[in-house]
Amino acid sequence: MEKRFKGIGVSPGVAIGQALILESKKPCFIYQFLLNTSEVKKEIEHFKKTVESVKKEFKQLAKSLKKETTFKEVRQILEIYISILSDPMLYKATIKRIKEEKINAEWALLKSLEEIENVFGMIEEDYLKQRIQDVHYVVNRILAILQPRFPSAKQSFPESVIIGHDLSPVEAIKLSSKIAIAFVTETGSLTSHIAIVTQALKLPAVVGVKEITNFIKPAEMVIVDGFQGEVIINPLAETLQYYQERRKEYKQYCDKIEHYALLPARTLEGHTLKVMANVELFEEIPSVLKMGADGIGLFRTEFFYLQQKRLPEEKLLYEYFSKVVKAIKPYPVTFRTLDMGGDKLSSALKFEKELNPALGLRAIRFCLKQKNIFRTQLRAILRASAHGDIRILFPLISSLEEIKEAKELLEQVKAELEEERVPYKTSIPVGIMVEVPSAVTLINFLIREIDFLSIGTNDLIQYTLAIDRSNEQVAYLYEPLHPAVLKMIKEIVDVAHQAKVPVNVCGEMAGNPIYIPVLVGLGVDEISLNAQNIPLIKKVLCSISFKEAQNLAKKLVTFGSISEVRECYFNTIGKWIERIEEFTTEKASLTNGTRL
Amino acid sequence: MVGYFRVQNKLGLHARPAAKLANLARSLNAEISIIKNNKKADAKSIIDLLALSCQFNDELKVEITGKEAHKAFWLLSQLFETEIGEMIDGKKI
Repeated sequence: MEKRFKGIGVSPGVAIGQALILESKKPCFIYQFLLNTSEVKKEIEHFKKTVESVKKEFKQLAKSLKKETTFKEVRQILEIYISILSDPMLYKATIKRIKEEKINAEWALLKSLEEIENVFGMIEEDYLKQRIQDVHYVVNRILAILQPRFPSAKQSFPESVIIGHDLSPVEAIKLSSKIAIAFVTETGSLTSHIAIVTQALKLPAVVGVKEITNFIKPAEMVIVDGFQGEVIINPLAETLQYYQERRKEYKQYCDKIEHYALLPARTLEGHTLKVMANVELFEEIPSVLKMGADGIGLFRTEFFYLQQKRLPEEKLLYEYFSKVVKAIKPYPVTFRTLDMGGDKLSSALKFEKELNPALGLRAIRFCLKQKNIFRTQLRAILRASAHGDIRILFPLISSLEEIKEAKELLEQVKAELEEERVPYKTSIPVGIMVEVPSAVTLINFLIREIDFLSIGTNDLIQYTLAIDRSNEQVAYLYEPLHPAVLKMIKEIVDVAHQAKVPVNVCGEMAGNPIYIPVLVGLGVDEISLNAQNIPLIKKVLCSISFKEAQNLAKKLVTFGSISEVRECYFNTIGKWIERIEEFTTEKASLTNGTRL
Repeated sequence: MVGYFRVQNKLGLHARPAAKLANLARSLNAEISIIKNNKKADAKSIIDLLALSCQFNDELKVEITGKEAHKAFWLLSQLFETEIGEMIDGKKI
């Protein structure tokens, strides 16, 4: 009978194989015996040698890992284990027990473990408390050599799904090179080390599947769905077929994506666009590089502020921004200054509750009112510019006064740094987000003040059409292909290009394959989107003609109704539709894939 | 020797920085104790350090004795200064 279990998917992918069940956490029995005085010395030597060999094993394992950055964290985990191995509470204390109590090494080690468990029992913070897992892994590994218990390779099957109460990263790495195709554990959470390791190994894993070992027999067929966190024992024929299909799709998808990321971002005629990434946190940068981005087109600085308990000081901000700049090098990063209201920023800053926050005191308005916060951020960004290629982007500009005031403040801060002899780059491009209709109307004035601009389509559409997308009553009216929106983008691009100012689009429109032809046709120079979609967007770019897209865009801006635009647009890109549909399903599975 | 340090590490003294601290302490000919709220930990023991459960902004007292006390103090302050290597990335390990 088919049995389904729910856990937490911590590593994506689908695997189908036979169950290999690891014995439970602690060995069923431990030899416990007293030693003669003459045996004590030998027993201590035996223990020391065992610990030494485990240490060597961990070190070799760390060495054997590929030099890829994905394995950096795995190596760090192994270092923590090595540190635990030589911990006085474990190592010295056990030797002392063998000597003083004249008991065998296993017994002495278990007594040490008990004491450590007591110590951990008193820790209140959950994360640190869970680190007792790591001590257990290390102790079990020593015990395994002192007293072998693990199934030998002969007993196991090829293509096995490893199932256990708990699994150490060390075991996972070792099993992965031989037989493991997926991992399932009863314990664990999203923060378990096993998550990091299995992701690096590119093997699906589901943790926190309570009591699964009570319901599964060795060699039973198991399906592991790392996306949904599901484990299925003895699947029905149709379930099996479904997952075989899923597995194939994911594999094809991974192969393709890897390939797409390497594509150049240019149309059939060789017209090149810059494809950049929208980034919220430093941790995303490795994947940004992997996905083939030409840099960071939008770094949303507010997320770092939100992570802090209080308003971050300049030093902290500077270090964080520098870290970002250095990590993305030699590519550029565009820092967008704080785009949020005071209510979110800090509980220390009490603000009136606003009836309509989208039209309230936020972004540049907030910054120009709270100049100290703004100044600190600008100083930190400027200082970070000494380490690489950066651009500064001001959000929600709606008038000439605002950009002038922001720039003036920037100049003041530069002068300060100059005086303090703090290094920064003098020639930093300054740009604005064009996302308020008034900025579009005034674009020919604003353009003289800036080196680049970025169209935030989400807000621009929302403000232009007066539609709150989160309001279900009107969400259906939200339409990127609204003729007013297209006309605005065209106006911006035309004015910008006359002034030789490059135009970026960083809203959701840029991340959706369907809208790429129209953006290209309107003459956008750069697009910035979530890194996960970059390979796909590059693929779309490569398959369209710049000339045809331009002609299409020219025609679209002559229409006055949404239906005319849509009809013409989708009819013309009809020959791409098939492909685009394929892309959108890929996109769907991708969004799944990244949230795992 | 006695010194005071503040945990600058946003995530607290979790396993990775604790391992770093313990490895440093073990490499030195000195006895190093880390004290928080009258609870004492042997700096050579990662387990002891984790048990101290040091969070961001906690103030720690450090007592050092032994031959290499001065060197230990200097190296330790450097380690704390660099937030115990935490600027590399912000993930808890």
